[in-house]
Amino acid sequence: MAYQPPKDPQEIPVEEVSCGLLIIGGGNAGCFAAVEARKLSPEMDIVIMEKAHISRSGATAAGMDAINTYIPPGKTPEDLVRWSRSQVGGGPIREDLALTNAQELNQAVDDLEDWGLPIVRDDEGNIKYRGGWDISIRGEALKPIMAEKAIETGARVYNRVVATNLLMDGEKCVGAMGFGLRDGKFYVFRAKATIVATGGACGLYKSYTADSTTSHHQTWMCPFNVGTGYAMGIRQGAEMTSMEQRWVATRTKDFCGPVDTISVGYRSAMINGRGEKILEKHYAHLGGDKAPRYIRANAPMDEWLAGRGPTFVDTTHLSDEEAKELKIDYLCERPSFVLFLASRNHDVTKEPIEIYGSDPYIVGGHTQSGYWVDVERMTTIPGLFAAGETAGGNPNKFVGGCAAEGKLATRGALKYMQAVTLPPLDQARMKAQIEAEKARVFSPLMKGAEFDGVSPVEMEERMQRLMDEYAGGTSQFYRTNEERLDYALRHLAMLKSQIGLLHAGDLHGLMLAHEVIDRLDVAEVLCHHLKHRRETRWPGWQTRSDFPEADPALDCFVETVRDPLTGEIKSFTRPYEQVVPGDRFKPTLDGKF
Amino acid sequence: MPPKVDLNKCDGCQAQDEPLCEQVCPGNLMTLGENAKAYCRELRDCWDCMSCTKVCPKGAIDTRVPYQLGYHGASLTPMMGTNSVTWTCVDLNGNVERFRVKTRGRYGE
Amino acid sequence: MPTKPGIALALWDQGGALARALDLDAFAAALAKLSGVAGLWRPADLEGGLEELAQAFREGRADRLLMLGRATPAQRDLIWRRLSATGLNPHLVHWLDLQEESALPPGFPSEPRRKKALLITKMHLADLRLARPLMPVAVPAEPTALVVGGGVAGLGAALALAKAGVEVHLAERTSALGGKVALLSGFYPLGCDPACGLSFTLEALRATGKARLHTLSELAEISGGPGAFRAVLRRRPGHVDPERCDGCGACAEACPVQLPDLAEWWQDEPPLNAQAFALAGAPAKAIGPTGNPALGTSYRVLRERCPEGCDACVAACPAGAVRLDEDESRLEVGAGAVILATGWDPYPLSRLTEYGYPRSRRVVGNLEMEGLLSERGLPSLAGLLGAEGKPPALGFVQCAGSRDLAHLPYCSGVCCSATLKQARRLKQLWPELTVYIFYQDMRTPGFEEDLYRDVAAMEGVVFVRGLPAGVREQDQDGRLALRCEDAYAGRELKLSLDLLVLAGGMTPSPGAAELGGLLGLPAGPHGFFPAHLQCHPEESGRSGVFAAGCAREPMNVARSLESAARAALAALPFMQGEAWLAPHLPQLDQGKCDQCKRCVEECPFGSWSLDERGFPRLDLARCRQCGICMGSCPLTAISLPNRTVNQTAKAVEVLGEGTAFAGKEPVILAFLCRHDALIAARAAAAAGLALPPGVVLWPLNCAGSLNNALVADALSLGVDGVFIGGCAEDQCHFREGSRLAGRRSRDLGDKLAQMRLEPERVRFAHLGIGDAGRFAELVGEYAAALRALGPNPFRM
Repeated sequence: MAYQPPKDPQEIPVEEVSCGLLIIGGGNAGCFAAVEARKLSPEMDIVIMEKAHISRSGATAAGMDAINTYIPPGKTPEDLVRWSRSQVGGGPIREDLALTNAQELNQAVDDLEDWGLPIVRDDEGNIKYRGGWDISIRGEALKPIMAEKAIETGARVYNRVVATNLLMDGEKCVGAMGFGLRDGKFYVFRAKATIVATGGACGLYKSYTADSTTSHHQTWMCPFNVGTGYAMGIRQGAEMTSMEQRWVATRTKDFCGPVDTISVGYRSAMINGRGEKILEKHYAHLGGDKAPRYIRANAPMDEWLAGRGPTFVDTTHLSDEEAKELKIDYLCERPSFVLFLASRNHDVTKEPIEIYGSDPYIVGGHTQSGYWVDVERMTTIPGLFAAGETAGGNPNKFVGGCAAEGKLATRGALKYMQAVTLPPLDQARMKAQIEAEKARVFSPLMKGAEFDGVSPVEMEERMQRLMDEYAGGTSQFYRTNEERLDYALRHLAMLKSQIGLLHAGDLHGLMLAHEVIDRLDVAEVLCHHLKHRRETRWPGWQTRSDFPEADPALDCFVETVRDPLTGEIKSFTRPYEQVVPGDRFKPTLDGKF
Repeated sequence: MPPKVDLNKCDGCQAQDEPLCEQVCPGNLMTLGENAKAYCRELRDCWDCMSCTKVCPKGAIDTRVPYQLGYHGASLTPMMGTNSVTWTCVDLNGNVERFRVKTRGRYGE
Repeated sequence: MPTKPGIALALWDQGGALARALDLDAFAAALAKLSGVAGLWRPADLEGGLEELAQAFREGRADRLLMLGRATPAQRDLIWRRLSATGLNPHLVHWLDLQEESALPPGFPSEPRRKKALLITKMHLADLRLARPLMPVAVPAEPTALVVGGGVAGLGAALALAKAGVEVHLAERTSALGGKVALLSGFYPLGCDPACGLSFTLEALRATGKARLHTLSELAEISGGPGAFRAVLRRRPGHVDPERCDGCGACAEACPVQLPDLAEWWQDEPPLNAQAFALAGAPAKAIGPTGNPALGTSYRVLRERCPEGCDACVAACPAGAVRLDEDESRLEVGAGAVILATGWDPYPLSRLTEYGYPRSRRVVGNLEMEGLLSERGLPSLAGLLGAEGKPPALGFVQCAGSRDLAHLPYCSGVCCSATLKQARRLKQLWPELTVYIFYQDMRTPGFEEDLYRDVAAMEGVVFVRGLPAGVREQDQDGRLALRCEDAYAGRELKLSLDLLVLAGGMTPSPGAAELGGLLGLPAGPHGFFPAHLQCHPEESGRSGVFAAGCAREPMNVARSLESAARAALAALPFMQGEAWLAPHLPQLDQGKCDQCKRCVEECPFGSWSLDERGFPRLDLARCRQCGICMGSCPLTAISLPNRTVNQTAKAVEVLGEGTAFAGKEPVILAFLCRHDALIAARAAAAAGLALPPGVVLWPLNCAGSLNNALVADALSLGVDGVFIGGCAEDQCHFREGSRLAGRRSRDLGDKLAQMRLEPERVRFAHLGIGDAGRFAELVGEYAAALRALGPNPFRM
């Protein structure tokens, strides 16, 4: 029963779905958006478009071992904003977004606990904080728990439907289009308001372990989140913010797994090959072990560059009990790391764990790259809202913040949709849009067996190499400069011009083709952002070897908009506005770390 | 982290359209082969989330570390309970470590 | 502030077993302190002693009851009668006989014994705490029956149901009612014409006004479930309107076609040797009456034999009843239950090449013999016997094609009596006739032995133990010559016979197999519909669908009628307007479900199907509430109320936290099916058989309802071994449960090996209700094996 690709766009069955609220992406933010929508509107017709299966899709597939922000008793949302701001070197961040998010944060986490997510508590029932803001959870079932709640709302969940483009009514977003990964149908979702929550973008850059035949996806971030949400908005002229603030993090070497668990949760200092505590030694003035995240990310790479590698987190002080707890944490989030240790006979109490930088990702829930949104979480495209990693401006959201933002986006969407009437799909310009998208989406499948073209994996690897070497990837210790960025843009343009050569033999291949296409659009915008910020504000996340210092004139947000017709990308800035008082560079009011 | 399917244990979920591993894989990588048994269509694309390993009712799937990263012979096996998951990890020397981890429910309940 | 009602604990140590085993007061005191317990009562007797307890329920201090102690079934009835008026829900009452639960192992020192008793009580409390008040569920039960098959069983069932007030649609595939019985010449012992009984039944059926009889009709489609089936009957055109036709026969007179072969006329009837009937009777036409005249014939047209453009019959019919253009029609009916009475067909005797059937007109089957013995057939029969002055002789070949692995491996049980009946009639008609009965064994059970004795005593009836060979038509006179070895006489006979009757066996009706497929029935033995002979002879394997008569297995008319009555009675509850179902209907959590369809595949009764969104949907009335689906779901998304996965998980958790009670003894959690294995285990404990002190019993509705996640829980909490007891595979009350449980425990064993746990820590065994001794033996062996393995590595 091998799949028979269509020979003609006319052959492709079309399914049209109309609803009130469309949520693209059934992940952390998406599930919370659905639950909030049902809570506020018992009659709302909710649809979730999910490219995998909602029970285990996306970044939380294996689970989660911590919720990195939960405001402890005695602290306020403003305190959280201060800390978050300092973690990105004083910002600039969108403090309006940060504050509204912080105000919703704890309730979202409490919801998760009510739904059955185990939050680790001591015998008296108090939550155990492992850092200043982060709490430990036993989150192996985090995704199924959220998915169950989303399904309970009665939302229609379309699993295995890959989103490809927004459905537009002139300048307004009225839904989305995509294809069925199992049924090969073309889907048109028409909605009064749309929330895009597709997670971040992984795989723009080559992962340094991606050269091997069986570990191409050795990345910290979920490799199945490719930035489709961003790409769909970019193509329709949505404004993106702060894409240059890439998320680069210290990760376990080779395996590329989480490390904050160890360094924060188990007080394991970063050391270099000489055993020196790197952060204490070089960054005490920025807080040492509590220094901003990009310092923690960049520091080990600087040690390598300076010839003082390898670098480690020093776990040799851990007791057997703590080592077991550490492994339990990993089992809840990235279980194969425990297998990795076992397959090297690595006893963490005897040998420290080696670390290295990861490949750069675009994730608006960790740094602040993503859609520019207003405080209602509406993007610059009317009718399109963003939440979670897809929404920009507010870093350090993590699980709790993405959940909270899902709720906020829903509230915004429900308000917006009251004044909306939907255009009928058989209207001429809607029909034209739909036919054009159908042809575009299925084109790689309809090339015929004799076609001499390019496979998605070839194009992906070409792009990843290009970005790694020219746009500040791991092999370059994240450094780039004007000439390399221009080079990257030239070659990205060539790649984009050859998209028509992509061919696929089945629906899985078709998905891979679109993943490449979407990544190219995101990578192009990313390079423009990196170009525009001619300074180095967050070394590691964004390092310009030709402008190694921070430039006060760029103490603002870098933005881009792509013209939907010409494809021309314009970059510009927006001013920073401080909302929460205090020294931007200090995490607390009193200046203490 | 390529998943390896034991063809003697795998029954393709008794030839239903989609075996459980195919249902659950976030990367659309597990699928039924011509022999009506499951296999991973692209080993290099696996993210090792282990959802397939956890869900297989026959315990036919084994998650491996690619040899480029770690040596052969260690194993990590999950066993799903109603509100907990139990893991057994065996290192290269055959040392066994066991973990029982809560997955649902409030602490103290 | 009103507190939530708690659990009432009642301790009633009838017989003093508890007091002998424990310090009962201390035990009671410990129980009263447990969380969620509203109080502990110790009624002195079952009369006034329950009054205080009843008061607690009335006042809402407790809403559920755990009764500790031994209470006989009669006493439980009494207790329930005393308490039911308080509003206590019957599904919130649990009985716990600690001795029977092996909670008080005799050789165990007193402290561990006390701990075990307390632990088991806590397990049951944990389970009961999460239970809910349940009410029976009403589902619609359409008061209409669909009977498939218009033979004696179908008509009998239809009559019984119509008399009980149910509307009946009866669909008969052929053009005539009465089935094979309408072709019989006479019943034993009275020799009466079956048409008499059949016409009596038909008249009574018509008189009820509740029966709609559809001939030339088959079941084409069916959907829905018990209480609410939706069926489509497809009717082939007969081309004659029965409401206008008065049977005058003018059409047949006018018809220019003469059928050369009588068999064509009986196209829907069994393949008969028509040549035997060729000697008498007017030639058949393309239009004419079908069926036994005594039952009221109906006219029909063999349309494919009509010459092009001919409509002589239309013109001839004074009532205008002929409809040559009639097409197939469909009728939709709703029904609460379906009765399959599709009857039988004779084994195709043409496969017995050694007897010359149907080449020679002198070799017939036993059903044709019935036809020859009837009024219509006698002239033909007379013509066959006694040719040219030779003394008339005929032979019966018993077991023709029966009890033979190359043909029908079984015995149809009716042919010997039928032959004897026919032989007796023949002798009455032709006293000078010599009748040979060639046999292997004469099988005439019960009072039919009288018939055998009568016939054997008749002059000119010769029983020959041996089956004939070399049957051929002699050239000179056309009579049959054959040889036979007489095993008792020890010599070979050479005979000339006028007629040879092959007493062939009965096979399922053609179309029964497709019908079974349409209804989703499991296959039964030899192509008949299956049933458990002693416990559920009328069942078909699908709720709401019943089988009656020879559709079930070969049987005589008397048994067919009894079988039909049984089926009708069993079907009745599905047709009373409303059917009440027990409240343990499985609930699906769609949030957890990922549509893997295992429940649909593994349900033995086809109770789950998929809805428009691909989620499993339950047919409430079809469901047998076994819980096999609960056991099959890899995501524990299905639970049966008051037997939920969570309830059992909580009980297992309690056990897991208390494994220390057993000291060095292995802790064995025995999940036992309550129909057989649990009864055996409790009997073992009650009889004081030596059981390992670490064994803890837990009831299951069916071994197949146990979800592997619960076994995983138990083992990961440090239980040393999990023992699963189910019925013998072919005796499972829910057909597949025991087999599935066995398979799942083997799968889990594989997983345990990967987990570096010993696969022996899960053991599955078959136990029958009387296997108390065997249970003790098995579990004793298991404990020894576990002792050798050492404690579960998870014991921390």
